[in-house]
Amino acid sequence: MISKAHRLHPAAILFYLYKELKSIILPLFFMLIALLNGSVIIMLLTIIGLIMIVITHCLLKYFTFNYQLLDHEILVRSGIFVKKVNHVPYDRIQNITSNQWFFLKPFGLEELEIETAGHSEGPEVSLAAVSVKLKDELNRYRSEVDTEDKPKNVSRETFSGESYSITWRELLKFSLTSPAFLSGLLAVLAVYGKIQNGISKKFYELAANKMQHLGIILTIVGLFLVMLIFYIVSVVVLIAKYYHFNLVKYDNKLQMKYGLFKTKKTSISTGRVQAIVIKQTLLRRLLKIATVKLVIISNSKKEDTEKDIIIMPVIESAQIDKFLNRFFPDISTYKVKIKEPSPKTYYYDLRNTLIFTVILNIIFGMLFYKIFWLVIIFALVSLVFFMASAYLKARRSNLSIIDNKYLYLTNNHLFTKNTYFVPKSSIQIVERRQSIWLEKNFFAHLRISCRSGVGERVIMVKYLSVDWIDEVVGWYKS
Amino acid sequence: MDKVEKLPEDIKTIWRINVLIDGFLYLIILLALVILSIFLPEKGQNFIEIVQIVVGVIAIAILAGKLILIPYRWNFWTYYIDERQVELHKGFFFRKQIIIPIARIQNVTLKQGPILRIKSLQKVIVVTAAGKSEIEGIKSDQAEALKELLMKLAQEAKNDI
Repeated sequence: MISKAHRLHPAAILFYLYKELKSIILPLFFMLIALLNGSVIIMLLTIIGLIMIVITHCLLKYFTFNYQLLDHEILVRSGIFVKKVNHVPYDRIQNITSNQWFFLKPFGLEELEIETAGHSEGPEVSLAAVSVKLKDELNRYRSEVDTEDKPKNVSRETFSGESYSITWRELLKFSLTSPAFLSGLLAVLAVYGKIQNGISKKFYELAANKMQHLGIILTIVGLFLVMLIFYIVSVVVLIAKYYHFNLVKYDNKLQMKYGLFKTKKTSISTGRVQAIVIKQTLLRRLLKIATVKLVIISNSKKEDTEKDIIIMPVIESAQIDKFLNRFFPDISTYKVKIKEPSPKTYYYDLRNTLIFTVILNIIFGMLFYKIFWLVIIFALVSLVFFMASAYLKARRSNLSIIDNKYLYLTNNHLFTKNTYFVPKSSIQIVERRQSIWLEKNFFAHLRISCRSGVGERVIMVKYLSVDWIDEVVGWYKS
Repeated sequence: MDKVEKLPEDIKTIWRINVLIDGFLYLIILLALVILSIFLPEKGQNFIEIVQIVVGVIAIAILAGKLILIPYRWNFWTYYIDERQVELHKGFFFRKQIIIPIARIQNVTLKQGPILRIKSLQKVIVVTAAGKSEIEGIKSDQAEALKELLMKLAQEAKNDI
């Protein structure tokens, strides 16, 4: 059953070109600006030269790359000067992600990313353009290896046919309430800052002069328009990204499929799931929608919340229990008892925040005491902002032991409510914290660490009744 | 080992030596500031003087605080190991109780720097897949035994699953 070495489909060359051009477009842009004052011929020559280099590089990369499916492993050879031979055993593959652009669909091509548990950044193997059949073939090899190694386990749970898709209404609500456009705006501002350094001073002064003529109202309208454009673009991008989001569960695997222009298919084995997180920003809470994410072990080195895998970008609050029951039947959501937060919790959270805000305001006041109105506005805004967040924190800090397998926890981060379902088996360390003053008042903190990405995820709830905390500690010990 | 244990008395000496080393570090900082002030004009010297005083006062406060708190720290630093979990307790005013199930332990690291070697103590670091905790210093032979025990228990716990 040994197949011979294959090359990728020639369309891969285009992919390489696209990726390389994307990565050099910004430096190229700055270079052009730097050359702006020079002669046109030099500029043209550099551009043509660069493009030639890129094209030859891509061609070489394509012709030196091949893959081969062996009985127990996939073999990938690559490299122009430094030859690299990568052996990836089938049973080490953690997941296979496929990306398919809409224009590749008629040709039956897609991009495959094969991920292992290794600590390399990004996927271990990336096949830029291969036939869609390859994924099935790979999966066949994988399952063959699987059944060879393990004795047939009859009790393995197989829920086939569990499937859930988001509706248009939900998707619209989700995209319209996403704050993603703000980060996009920040990115553009950052790039603008860089450009500002690059552009010659003369040009900048010219622009500044023009701006003066526009007057303040026009500037504000302009800013507003820019914001609006960003908002609309982000909405469209989000809709395109999560279009027809579909989640299927079979054979201990969760498979997601989504995207309008680029269809992405990815699967996670449930064994890697460390915890389930339900996130709800304030705006989305009002609209009664939430996002379901998974904390998983992966080779991602990204920031804490970014490496969580979204398994359902948007779901109506009322549907969450049903959704969890279908995809995670272990969690008996009906057993969750949400206890009334104690007034003392409010007291502690509000007190701490008040102290913090006052100190912050004193420092701010000392720095800007000359501009009186600014200090007042800052004081008011910071007070409302932090106190509201502290109030939510107190209200949302909660925990409940579902059964001897799962723990239910909620906490608050600024204005986002996080609900965690953590299995006991994935909790690595439990830490109970209490100061002597809290002991007198029968309160304590709880800190739980789980695995997430290549590192650690800490979930913390503060100022809860000591009985609740001790119950969890006892539950964890038994 | 089925009882709550304290760190050996010798650890207090180690902590004192650590405070001493910290003191030296502060001295070096102060020295650097003094040298710096020589090269500065009149105006800067006044400023540096204030910085010197502030650093000095803070250093003395921290060092004195640490020294005074050593008996306190020792008294409330306990650990407990049975066949299911490792428990660490720290502090009196701010209490911490850390629980690590034996089955979650990935590896145990024994560490010994030159200062710990004087008193033949070892630092024991218990590593899980997410995060780690350390027992700051116990007698070398005890540490070896502890390591053996932890690894044996971890092996058994793994076999249970």
